[in-house]
Amino acid sequence: MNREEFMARLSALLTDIPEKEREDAIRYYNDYFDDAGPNHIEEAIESLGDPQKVAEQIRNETTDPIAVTKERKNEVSTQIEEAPKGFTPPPKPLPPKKEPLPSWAVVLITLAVVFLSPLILALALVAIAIVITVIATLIALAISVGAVFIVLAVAAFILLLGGGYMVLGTPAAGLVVIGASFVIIALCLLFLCLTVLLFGKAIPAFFKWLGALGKSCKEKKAARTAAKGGITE
Amino acid sequence: MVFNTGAALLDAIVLAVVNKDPEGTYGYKITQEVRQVIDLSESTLYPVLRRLQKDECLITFDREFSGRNRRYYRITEKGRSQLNLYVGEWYAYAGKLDRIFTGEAFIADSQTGKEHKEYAV
Repeated sequence: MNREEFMARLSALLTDIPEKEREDAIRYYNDYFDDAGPNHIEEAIESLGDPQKVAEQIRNETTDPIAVTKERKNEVSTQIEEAPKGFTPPPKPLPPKKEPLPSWAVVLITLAVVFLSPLILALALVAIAIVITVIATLIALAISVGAVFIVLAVAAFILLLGGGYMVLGTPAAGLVVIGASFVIIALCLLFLCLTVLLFGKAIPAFFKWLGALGKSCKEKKAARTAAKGGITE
Repeated sequence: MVFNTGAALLDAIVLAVVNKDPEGTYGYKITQEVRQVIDLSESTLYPVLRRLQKDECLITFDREFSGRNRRYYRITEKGRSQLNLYVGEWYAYAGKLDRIFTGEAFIADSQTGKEHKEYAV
């Protein structure tokens, strides 16, 4: 087969594809033979083989994009079974719906809720009461410690002033009073530290702990529902 | 060659060959260069070029050459990023195969009796 025969066959075989595609292919093979040159043209024609096969390859690529994409998908994931040309996969079956509870279960649950609700309510109230008590205790403690601090500060101030005044009259007694005021100032600073600790650390820490508790409860619940969902799917 | 060349690998090879010529290259030359590396029938290449052109990985243009218009192919920005993707995938794949073929971990096992260390997949 010479070049003219090859091109004529190919052109005839490609009449069923879009005009532009055919022109493009013919153009390509004309260029191809030109570039092969007189020395290699025989070789090129022989190596291209049957125009029928060449035409088929062109047609596969240009007129059936579905088949091509299918083929490439198969390559990516070998699990997908080979599908015939133009095949569209059936729609995925819907995930099975959650089975509704049988009526006897609904009745039992309703009864349980009705009869146990006072108990559940009581337990919830107790829990809330405990939390409130702890908070109140902490705040009360903090306030009283703070109050002690203020009282001590005032006492120290008065003693210091009084002591200072007494030193002028009876130096010995005055010095004792000033000494006592220093002791009280030390105690006062101690209570200041306690107040700061209670307000700044203990109370926020308790609230943080409460928050974390609530969060972990929520997460557990979420995990449980997720696990349930996994089983039903 | 004993190994098959799939469509993705063929695309990668063709893109790499076209990428070598920033001025553009032509069908016959591409075919010859690809055939130096893999065994493929000459008729396989046109559909690949056409597909890459449709995917906007390649563009064509005509330029005069010894008294006729020759069609040239040039890689696009998209084609280059696609090629980078393929090359990255290839090295990852080849690395895994190397590890299997050299069997480092297995040799260490049988000779020293030690637990084999890392054998990441």
